[in-house]
Order: sequence, then structure tokens, then C-alpha cells
Amino acid sequence: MTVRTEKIQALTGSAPLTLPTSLPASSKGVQVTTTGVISTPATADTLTHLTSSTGSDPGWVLLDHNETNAATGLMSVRNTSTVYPPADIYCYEIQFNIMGYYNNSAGSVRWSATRNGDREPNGTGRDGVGIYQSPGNGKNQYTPGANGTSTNGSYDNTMSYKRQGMSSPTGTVYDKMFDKTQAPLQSTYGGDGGIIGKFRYYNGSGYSGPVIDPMGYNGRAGNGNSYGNWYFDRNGFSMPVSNNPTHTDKVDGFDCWDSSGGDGWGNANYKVMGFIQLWGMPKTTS
Amino acid sequence: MASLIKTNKISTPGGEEFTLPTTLPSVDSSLTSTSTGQLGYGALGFSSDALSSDNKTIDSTAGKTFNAQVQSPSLVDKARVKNDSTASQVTLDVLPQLRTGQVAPNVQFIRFNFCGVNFSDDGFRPTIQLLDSSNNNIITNSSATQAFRSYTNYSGGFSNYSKDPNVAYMPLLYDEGYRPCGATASSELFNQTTRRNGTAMMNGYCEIQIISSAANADTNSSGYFGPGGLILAKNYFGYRYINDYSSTSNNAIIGVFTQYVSKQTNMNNATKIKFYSHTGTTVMNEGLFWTETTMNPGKTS
Repeated sequence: MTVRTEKIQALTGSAPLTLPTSLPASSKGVQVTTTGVISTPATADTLTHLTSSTGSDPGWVLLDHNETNAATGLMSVRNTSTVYPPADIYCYEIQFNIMGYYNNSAGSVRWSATRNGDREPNGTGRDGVGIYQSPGNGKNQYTPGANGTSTNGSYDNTMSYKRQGMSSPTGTVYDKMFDKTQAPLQSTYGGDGGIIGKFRYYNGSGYSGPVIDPMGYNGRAGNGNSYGNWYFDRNGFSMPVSNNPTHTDKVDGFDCWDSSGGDGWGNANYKVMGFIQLWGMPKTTS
Repeated sequence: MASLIKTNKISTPGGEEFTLPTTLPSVDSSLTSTSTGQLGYGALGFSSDALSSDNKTIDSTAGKTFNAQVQSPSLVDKARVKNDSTASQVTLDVLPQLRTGQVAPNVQFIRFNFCGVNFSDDGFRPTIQLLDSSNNNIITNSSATQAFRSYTNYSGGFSNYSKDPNVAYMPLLYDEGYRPCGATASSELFNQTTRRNGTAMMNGYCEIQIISSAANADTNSSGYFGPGGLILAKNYFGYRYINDYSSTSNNAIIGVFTQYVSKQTNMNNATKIKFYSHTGTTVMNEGLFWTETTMNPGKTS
């Protein structure tokens, strides 16, 4: 027997659920709105992360995305999630493609973690100890780039690259970097320069830093058909050793800028453009 | 006037009862049910451990034996070790829940991730092992049944290799003289704001391709390895191997360790991965671990 009704409601409740009036074209998930309307939408609510088969634990969460088409002094991503705030993120993953602007010259992209939105990558006495590999550049070990404690200009890690060589305004627009009609053969553009890759960042309080990633990043210091001077690097990590680490807040984002530029410091001619994605792995487990 | 039925339960002709929720969801959510039929709402809307393929037409092609749903890597399992509950090993599932139509639980690719791993002293030899559904080791100590090759490259320049098949584990580094440092911890490194020795902070991940072959083992002919199954493991990691926090030298490793295993005898499907020390009694103070798995869509037996 079929009972026909538009709404059903629990006797002890005050939450009537409204039934759908049509069948879906294929099997779909059932969804309920905050007003109790049941539906079977073709596209369900957006997923922010996958949930583990075992224990229903959260996986990587896409926290932020910065796509900068017009070159700027500083690019940033932030974790402003109220569901998975910085204190709940055990590990970040940063994926990026950054192009640099000015004068076809060699330089680097500098990265700084932020805490409460502020750049002080080393705090009081967080020295960099670790390594990064640069097999493509013939270098094996370094003390990583962690340097300084000031708000402007200090950084956690640095990635060598070559700035593209087209003049402004063509050279300051990211989507022109892959336009062959705009590219001068004698100068660096688009895929010739820049950096592309990803790194992971352990989000301890004092003990934190960029950590191993097999992809690392790839950049180039040459141009034209010369494939010399590639950078194919793996990031090491920074650790506090010489003095006390003083960070009590967790990392809530990352800034990057050109080594000669910045946002109010450095030479304003040097700019960055491209995209950054910020992913986080929550510490939550069942 | 819209009709409204008020009832606590609705039941099917078979007698299965579903209990209605008494409140509305605070956000648009999926409708869920417990095993006892209590209807409710997903806290965050829909959830899934994998994304489905957008093109399933091959499933309906005559003669094809592909599983019904080809899917993205699944987030399978996750575990966290803390200093107030240390662990000598972490064993995670690598076999996700099977989709409707998936007829064989064959794992094709595993990514085992670890981050912020810290140890109780310097004796930890980080090692992984694959386990079958009966918790038996898949890598066995037998030159008669497996060929084993491994290659280490770390810190950019050093390299070494081994071809000894008589190993029953998969170490993350060939040269154990550079194992990660550690120290007894009374507080959690994740929230530590004062310096201390032994901050291993080991991070990395292992990527494992695995082809199990229970049907084609060749045990009659000596020297034929591979019909029983194949494993390729590539392990990437970084850690500091000097305990003393005051040392400012480059006492850290970024390593890549590759292992290749060919089986002569039947190799069971991997269902779990274990992270542990193959010698000693050192335990993990803390760390976060998780597994991602891609299933083999073309394997049906």
C-alpha cells in the first residue's frame, strides 16, 4: 500500500520533511535543506575533502586558492577555515606556479609562513638547519634559506628562478606567459622561467618547516633552447636549534614575493604572478 | 493544503523501520541512516572516500571485465600517535570500501604518508611491511621465492644498493648509520615552544605499486621470478639524524629509497601497511599517518 503525502514529521518533533515530487534520472544521493526540503540534486553539495574509509577521518582540505593574473608585489594564501582552523592542521601542502617580472634577470621566490597573518618566519631564534637538494643545479646540501626575524623580507625558504623578460604590460600578466604570439624568442617568457611544484609544511608550533617532497620545485635560469641552469630541487626543513623557538601560534598561511621585490619593501618593479593552492591535513583522527 | 503525516516511524512492507529525525539540519546535508534505521543528517553534507570516474562507458562494453566503477585514489585510513600514547608500530588499512560492482579487492597503488614523526630515542630503524588479510608479511625472508633489489640515494650524492633477497621488511634507508634521532618526550612536539634534543621530525611518504598474482605463480621452474607478483616501492623522506639541538651543522637527510620485489610464488593482495622499527625497542612519540589507495579496475579475480 502506498500512502501519499507531501510531508512527514516525527510526532515529537517540529521538523516537517518535504518529499521530492519527481524521481531523479539516475541514482543520486538524498539531500535535506535547512527547511526540510528533501531533494536528489544532480550535483550534490560541494565536498571540501575526502573522508577516510576507516574511521571517517578528514583528508586533505582545500583551504585557499590565489590566482594572480596582474603581477603584484606579494602573493598570499590563508587558512580562514572555521571547521579546520590552523590549530587543527598538522601539515600543509602548497602547490604553485609562480612567474616573476622584471628585466629577464635571475633571482628567487621567497616564502614565509604567517601566524595570525604576520610574517615572522623565524621568530626568536629559529635557525634553519637542514638541507635541500638541487641535483639539477649540481648542488647537494645547503643550510636552508631561513633567514631573519623581521616582518618584511624574512623568509622560511627560497627557490631560485629566472624572471621572464617581456616588458610591461605584457610581461606583467600571467595569462600572457603562455601566449606564443607575445613571446620574444631572445628572452625568457612563460615556461622558460618561473617556478612550479609543491612542498609540504609541518605545522608544529616552534618546530615547523617545509619538509620533504619528491616533486619539490622546478625552475630555470636560462632561456631559448638552452636547457642549462635548471633547478630541480627538493626542499629540506628548518629546525630551531640555536635558540628557543617562541612560536605559540600555528601557521595560518603563506606569503611569497620576489627576492628583489616585496610589498612595501624592496624594489617595486619586481613582481610575482601565477597561482598558489593551500591544502591542509587535519590532525583529527577517530 | 499540503498533507502532513505525523509519525515517529515509517516501515517497509518487509517490516524494516526507519525513525524520523525530530529536528532540521543546521546546514544543507545528506540524509543518513544508522544500521538501526535512525534517519539523520550528515554533519558536513555529503562525504566520500573517493571521487568517481566521469566516464564509465567502458563498464558496459561487451567483453570487458573492468570493475563497475573506476575511481580516484581513496582516502583509506588515518592514525595519530601522541606522546601520551606512544606506539611501537602503526598499521593502517590500504583496502578501501568496495563500490557497488567492484568484484575484486585488488590494490594497485598505495601512498603511505607520514608527518611530524618523533621517536623515543635514536634506535628507530624506520621500516614498512605490507600485510595480507591474515596479517601475514608479503615481503618474506626467502631467496627461493622472491628477488629483492633496493637502491638508496640521499643527501643528493650518496648512493648504495642491495640485492639480498633474504629480507622480511622494507627499510626506508639502506644505511642505518643515519637513522632519525629521538628522545624521551614529556610534552608534545607538535605544540612544543622550547628547544629540546631529539626532535626527529621525520616526514615523507612511500609510493607503492603492487600487482598481486595468485593465479600465475611458477614454482616448478627455478629462477623465474615475477609471475607470482610484483612490488615497486619508492620512499621519500627527510629527517635530522643528530640528537643535539645545539648542533648547527647539516645533520639532516633527504632520501629516496627504491625497492623492487619479484615474487615466484603466489602473492596475496595487500590489505594493510605497517610502519615500525625492524630492530630494537624504540617507539614513536608522535606522528600523523594516512593512506591513499588506487584500486586495480581491470582485475576481476
